[in-house]
Amino acid sequence: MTGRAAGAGLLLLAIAAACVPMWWIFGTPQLVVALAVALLVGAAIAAVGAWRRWRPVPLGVMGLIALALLAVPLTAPQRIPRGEWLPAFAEAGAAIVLAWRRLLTIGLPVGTGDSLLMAPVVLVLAGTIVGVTLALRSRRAEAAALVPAVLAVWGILWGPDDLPAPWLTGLLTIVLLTGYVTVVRQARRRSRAPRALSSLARRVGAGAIVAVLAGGGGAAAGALLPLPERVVLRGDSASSVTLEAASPLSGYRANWAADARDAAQLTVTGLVPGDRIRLAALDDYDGEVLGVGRAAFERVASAEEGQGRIVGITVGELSGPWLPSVGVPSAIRFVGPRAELLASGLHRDAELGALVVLPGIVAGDGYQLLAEPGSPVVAGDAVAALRPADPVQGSETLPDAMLEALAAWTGEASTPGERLGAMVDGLRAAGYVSHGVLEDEAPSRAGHSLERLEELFSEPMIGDAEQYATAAMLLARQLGFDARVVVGYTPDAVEDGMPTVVRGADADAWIEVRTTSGWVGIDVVAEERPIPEQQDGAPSIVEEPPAQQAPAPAPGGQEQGADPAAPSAPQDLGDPASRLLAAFGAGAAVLGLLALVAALPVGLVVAKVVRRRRRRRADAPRERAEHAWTELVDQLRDRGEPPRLDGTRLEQAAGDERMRDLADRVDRAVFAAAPPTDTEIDEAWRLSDDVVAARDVGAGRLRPLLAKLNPASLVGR
Amino acid sequence: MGVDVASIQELSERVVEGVERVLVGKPHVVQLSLTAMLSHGHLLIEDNPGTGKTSLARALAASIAGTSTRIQFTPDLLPGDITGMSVWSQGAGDFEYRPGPVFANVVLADEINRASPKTQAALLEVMQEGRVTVDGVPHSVPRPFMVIGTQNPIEHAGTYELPEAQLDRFALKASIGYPDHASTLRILADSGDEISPDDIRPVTDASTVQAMAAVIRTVHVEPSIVDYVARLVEATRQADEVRLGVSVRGALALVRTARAWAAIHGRDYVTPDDVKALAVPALAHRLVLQPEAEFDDVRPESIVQQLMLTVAPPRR
Repeated sequence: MTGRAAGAGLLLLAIAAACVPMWWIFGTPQLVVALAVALLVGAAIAAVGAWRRWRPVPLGVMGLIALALLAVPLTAPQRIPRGEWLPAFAEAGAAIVLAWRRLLTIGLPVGTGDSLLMAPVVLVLAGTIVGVTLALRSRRAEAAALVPAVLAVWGILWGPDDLPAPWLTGLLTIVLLTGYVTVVRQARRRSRAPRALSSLARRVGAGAIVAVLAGGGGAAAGALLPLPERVVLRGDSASSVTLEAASPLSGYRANWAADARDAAQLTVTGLVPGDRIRLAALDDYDGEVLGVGRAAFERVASAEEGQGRIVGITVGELSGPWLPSVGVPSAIRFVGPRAELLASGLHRDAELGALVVLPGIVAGDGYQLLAEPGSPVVAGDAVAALRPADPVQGSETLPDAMLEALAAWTGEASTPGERLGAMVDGLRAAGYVSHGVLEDEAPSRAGHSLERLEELFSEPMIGDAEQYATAAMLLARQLGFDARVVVGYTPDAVEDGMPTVVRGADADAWIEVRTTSGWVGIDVVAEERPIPEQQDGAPSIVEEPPAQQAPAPAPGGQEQGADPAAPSAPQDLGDPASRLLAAFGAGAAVLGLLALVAALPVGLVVAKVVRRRRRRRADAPRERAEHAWTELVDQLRDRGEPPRLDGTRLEQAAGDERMRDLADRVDRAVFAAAPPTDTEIDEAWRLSDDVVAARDVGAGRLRPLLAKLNPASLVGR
Repeated sequence: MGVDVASIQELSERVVEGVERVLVGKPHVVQLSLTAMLSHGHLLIEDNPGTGKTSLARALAASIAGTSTRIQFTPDLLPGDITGMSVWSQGAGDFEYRPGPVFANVVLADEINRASPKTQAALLEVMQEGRVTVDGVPHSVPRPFMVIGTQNPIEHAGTYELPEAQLDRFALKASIGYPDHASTLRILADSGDEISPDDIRPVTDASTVQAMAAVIRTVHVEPSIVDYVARLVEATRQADEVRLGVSVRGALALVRTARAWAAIHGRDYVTPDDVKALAVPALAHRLVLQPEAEFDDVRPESIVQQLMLTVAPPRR
C-alpha cells in the first residue's frame, strides 16, 4: 500500500484541481473548507481501509458515518450556534437528493443555502474514498484517474457558461492526472520486474518533460486560440420567471378601498423607523401599464448565507407573487406549513432588487430574512447633486402637457441632477393627493396610462403615488436618468422592538434612479393637503407643501429621511455569531489551503510511519522479522544509498558487517523451520535501526529529515 | 557422539584445515568437495595439469578414516578393472568374486576421460545406485561412497569426452585454478618441507560421515527456496544459448548439495545464498550449449551466472 502513497498524493492534488471550477458555482470560502475537509477525511478513510483491508461494505459505512458527522458542520455551520442542528441535519439529508437539481435552477453563485454544499461534499468525499482506495489497493490503479475526471466534468456541467481561464484549471488537472498515471504504471512495472533496466528517475523525468511540453503547448494554445463554447446543463432561462402581466401598481388603488385601508397587509418585526417595505420594482412601460420587462428572476436558495438584522414578516391580506422585503434581503427562511412550497419557488432579480415566489403568498405565510441596507432614499436639495450613471434619453413619447411642465420646472437648472431635483420639486409642489376611492375624496381616476398621465398634467394635478411615481419615472428618463418605480409600503407607526402592522394605507410608490453611486430612491408624491376648490375648472394652489429638510445623501446608502433623533436601530442579534463564523470560515479556509499544500510532505511522513508500524506489527513473526530488513532497505533508499535490488540479503549487505549480521538473522527467521521469537525480532529491528543510525553518523543532522521527505522508497518499490 | 550442524561445521573446518596443508589457498574447493561427499554426491574436478586435482582427492580421502582407492584411467582400462571380476577358485570349485578398486569410501578416478566409453559407463551404475552387478549378482559398495573424477580440459588427443548422462551423475563440478600470488609464495617457501596427502591424519570416520549425511537430509528447505531452484532450472532450459538444460536430477542435486553447504556453514536451513553459491558447480556442467554459442566460446558457467541475475532470489 505504501508503495502507492505518492500516487495517491498526486490523485488528491488532481481531485483538488478538479474542484477549482466549483468555486464559480458556489462563490463562498465555505466551499474551500468543506471540500478540503471532505478530501482529507475521504483520504484518511481510504488509507485506513487499505491498512485494515476493509471490504467495500465497511468502507461505504465509514463514508456514510463521516458524511453524517460532517454534513452540518460543512454545509450549514452558521446554524450550529443557533441550536438548529437537527433541522440542519434533516435539510442536509434532503439535500443529498435535492441539491443536484436545485444547483441547476438557482442563479450563480448559489452560495451555501439549502445545504447545497452537500452535492460537492458527497462527490468529493465519495470520490476520494473510491479514488484513493483504487490507488492504494487496485491492480488497475489507473482507474482512480476517473474520479477527478468525473469531478471536473461535473464542475463544467453544473457550472456557468464562462469561466476565467478555463484551460488553466483543465490543464492543471490533466497534468496531475498524467503524473498520477505515470507514477502508478511505473510502480506496477517495477513490482512486476524489479530487475528491469528502466529506472524510475528516467521514466519520471521523461514524464515530467512530456508534461511540461504538453502543459506549455496547452497553455499557449489555450491562451491564444478561442475555446469552443462549453456545454452546460444550466439553461439560459430555464429558471427565469416572466412577470410582465403582474404589475402591483395596477392594483395600487385597491389598498385605499375603505375596507382595505386599515386591513393588516403584513405584520413585520425588526423594523426600525424609516424602513421601507419593498414589494416590486417596475421598469417596463408600454404606455398603458408599468411592469417588469428586463427582469431576470433566478431561483435562489431560501436558506442562503447572509448578514444583516433579522426581520420577520407575517403575511396578512396581501397576496400575489411578489414577496415583500426590507433593504437587501438574504438568508430568507420560510416558516409555516407552506414553507417548503414557498422555498422551492423563491426567485430573485438581483438587478431589480425584487423577490417573487411562484406559488404566491397568502394570508398566514411567514418568513424571516436578514436585511442589509438597500438603496438610499434622498430628497430635497440632495437630488440636485445626483449624476446619471449612464445618461440615456428616454425613448417614451410623452404627452405635450408633461413635456411642457417639465420644461417649465427645469428651465433654470443646468445639470441633470438639478433638473431632476427641479422636476421632483415641481411635481410635489403642483400635485395633490387623492385616491378617488372614498366619497369625500376628490375625483381621481386609477390607472397610469399615458392618457391618465396626460389628464394628470392637463387638469388640476390630482392623483396618488400610482400616477406620480409613473410620471416621475418617465420624466426622469427624459432627463437622462435610468429610472424605475418601486411599489411597497412606508409604514409610519414603527416602534423599536415592537411588531409593526402594515396596513393598506401604508402603501406607497417611489422612483429609483440610477446614478454614479448606484440606484437611489426619491419620493415624488406630494404631501397630502387640502385640495382647493376648483374655479373655472382649474385648480388653484392655496398651500405650498412644506419644504423637505433632508440631509445630503451620505455614503453608505443609509436612508436620509430618517429622523436623526430616532433611536438607533436595534442591533442584529446574529451579527457577533455571524462575524465569528465568518472569521472561523476564513481561518478554516486558510488552514484548508495550508493542509492541501502540506498534504504531500505530511502524507509522505505519515505514510512511512504507518508503513513502519504496519511492518513492525505484522501478524506473522517471519514477516515482522523480514520487514526489519525491508525497512532498512527503504531507509537506505531514502538516503540515496539503495542496495542492489537483484541480490540476496547478504549480497545487499555487501561489506557492512552490521548489515550482514542482520541479513543472517533475517534469513534465519525467514528460512529456518522454526519461526523467530519476539526477542529475535526485536533484536533484528534494533539492528536495523543501528545500521541506519551508523550510516547517518557524520552525514549532517538534516539527513534523517530529508530522508523522511524523500518519496523514493514509496514510489520505487 | 551426537551429530548436529554445529559438529558438521566443526568437521568441515577441520577437514579444510587439513586439506589446505596440501592444497594451499583453496578452501572453497575443499568445501565443495566435502559438500559433495556429505550429500552422497560425486565430484568432478576439471583443471589444468599441476593444479592439485589428485592431491585434493587424495587429501580428502585421507581426511576420512575409511578406505580410498585411486584408479588411473587409461585407454586400455577395462570395466572389470574397476568393478572387479569373478575368478575360478580351485579350493571352492566355484567362481569367486574379486571386488575391484571401486569398492572404497573414496574413489579417485584420475583422468577419467582417458578411459573408453565402455569403461566410463561401468561407473554409471555404481555412481548412481551404489552397487556393482557382476555376473548378475549385485554387490554394494561401502558407505559413504564418493567418486572424485578428474579430467584435463586442454588435452584432447586420446581422450573420450564424458557423455552427458555421465556428467549428469556428478553432483558438482569444480575447478581448482592456480593459486594466487600469496599462496604461491607460501607453496614455494614450504617446498623443502612438502607434505604428502598420505601425511594427513583422518579427522573423522565413515560412520560419522554417514551420520552427518543423515543430519543433512533434515536440513530445512523452505518452499520458496525450492521454487527458486525450480525457476533457475527452468531458466536454463529457456536460455537461447542452451540446447539442453538442467535435468530434474540436476535440480535435486542442487537442493541436496545446498543442504550440505548450509550444514557445513553451521545452519540447519537453506538460504538463497546457498543456492547461489552452488548453482554454477551444480548446474553448469549439465548444460549442453548450442553450436553457435560454443563457437562464440560462451561458457556454461557464464550462462548460469547470468541467469542468477535475472531470476529473483526469494525474500521469504
